[in-house]
Amino acid sequence: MTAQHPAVKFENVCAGYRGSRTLSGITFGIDTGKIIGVSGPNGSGKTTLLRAIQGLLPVSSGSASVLGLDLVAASYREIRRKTACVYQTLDVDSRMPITAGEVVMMGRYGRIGLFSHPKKADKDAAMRALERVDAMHLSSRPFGQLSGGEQQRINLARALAQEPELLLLDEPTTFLDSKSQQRVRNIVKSVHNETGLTTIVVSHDAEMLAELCERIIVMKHGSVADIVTSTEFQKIK
Amino acid sequence: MLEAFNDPFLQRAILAALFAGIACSVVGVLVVTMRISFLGVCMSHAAFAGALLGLVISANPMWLAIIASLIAAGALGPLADRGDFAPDTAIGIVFSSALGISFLLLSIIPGPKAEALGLLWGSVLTVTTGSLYLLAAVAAGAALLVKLFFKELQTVVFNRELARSLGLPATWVFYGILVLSGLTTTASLNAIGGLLVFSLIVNPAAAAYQLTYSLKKMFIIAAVFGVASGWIGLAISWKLNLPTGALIILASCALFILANVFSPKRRARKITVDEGEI
Repeated sequence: MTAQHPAVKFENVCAGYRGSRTLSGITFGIDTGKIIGVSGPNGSGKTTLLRAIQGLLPVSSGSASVLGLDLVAASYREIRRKTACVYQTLDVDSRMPITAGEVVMMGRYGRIGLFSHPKKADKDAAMRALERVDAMHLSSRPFGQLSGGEQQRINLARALAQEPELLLLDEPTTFLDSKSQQRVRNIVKSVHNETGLTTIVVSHDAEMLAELCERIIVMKHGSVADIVTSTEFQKIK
Repeated sequence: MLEAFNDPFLQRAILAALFAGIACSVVGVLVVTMRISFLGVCMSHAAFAGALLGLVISANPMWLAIIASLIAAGALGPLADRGDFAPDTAIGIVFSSALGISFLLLSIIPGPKAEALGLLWGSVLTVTTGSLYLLAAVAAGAALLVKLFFKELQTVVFNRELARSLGLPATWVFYGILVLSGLTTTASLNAIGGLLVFSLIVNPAAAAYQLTYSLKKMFIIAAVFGVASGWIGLAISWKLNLPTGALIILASCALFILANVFSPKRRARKITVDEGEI
């Protein structure tokens, strides 16, 4: 992966809905191939920052680019196809008629286009992603009936099936038991080590951020309060 | 008995039940899996209000019902999307508005109100050829849309936010579901009635939900249940000379109860609970 441009570059960015400023004066950059953490108290704007990076929150001022695409001028769909996000939890009914394998395949849908159906290459990518998170055996199980840890591995597989250039993880281990937390951490670490995929991890888990990330952005009141190394972060905590 | 099938009224009723069963069940699967089942009742009342307006101003009730349901869909989408309200709150607001307008229009319709009440209860046996064509078109359109946009619909019913983050046109798909729901309830108004169409949307889909973990199969099972409800209700009504609409709905309720009793999901849930208790 060549570092032609920073994966994410925000300069004095303000963003929010209908005139409100949810994020204000955000400045930071992430080099391609790095894994960066985002920390901060509840309501500090961590998840909102991820939404802004995906083009899900309008930028009202400042300059923002993601994967070389201007966040204001570029097609949001183009940015969303190149970025994949794993959410904290997906509120899914246990009887929802959708299997884990179908959820992983959804990662391909943004690439396939309207009126088209998944082809062999898409199915192969979904299979590879399932293998990557060691969840082939879960493929035909109803997604809603999986445990929290299994669901999160499937969500990771869905994100990897998308073959993104930027992976966003929003509290990926919250609500998981310690064994599942470690398993998710190991997958994230090994994917990053093997592929050099640029990754942003939002978490309250200081231990996980210190273990996975080189630098951590500390958010407060919708702004960047500090950007520290993992060693400095451990001292703060 | 077979001679009855030569009756043009019964022939049209059989076809109307077929098309209404397919169209309503497609909408039903979408609203049941998205947990916005009340959308059906909201849309049917909006269509009913539009049709009543048609009667008041002596215009074509069906066209005004379509326009009213499209206005309701147009109001619901942005209300639900603004984030200030949950989708069911937005549906409740539009539903109560449609109900208020309907009562107001009912009170000011000049002359006898039999035609207005006919729209409320419907009559599959007196369905007109025009209504039958409209129902057929909506049923075919609904089935075609599911075929063409299955992956987008599947992702949106699973999680709208995820669909949006994948770059899928989640908002358009959601608005499309609202419009399809409006057109289906409008097309079913003459045959099934504004009050009863809600049951034909929700019951077959809710029954299918109990029986499968595949969304594709759920569409097919719901359509089979929807059509079966129509034909069973029609047959009993023809034989016993009882109200057809009410019997169609009761048939759909009976199918839901049977599906729930024999649901493998219910057994799976019971086993999980029992294991948890141990």
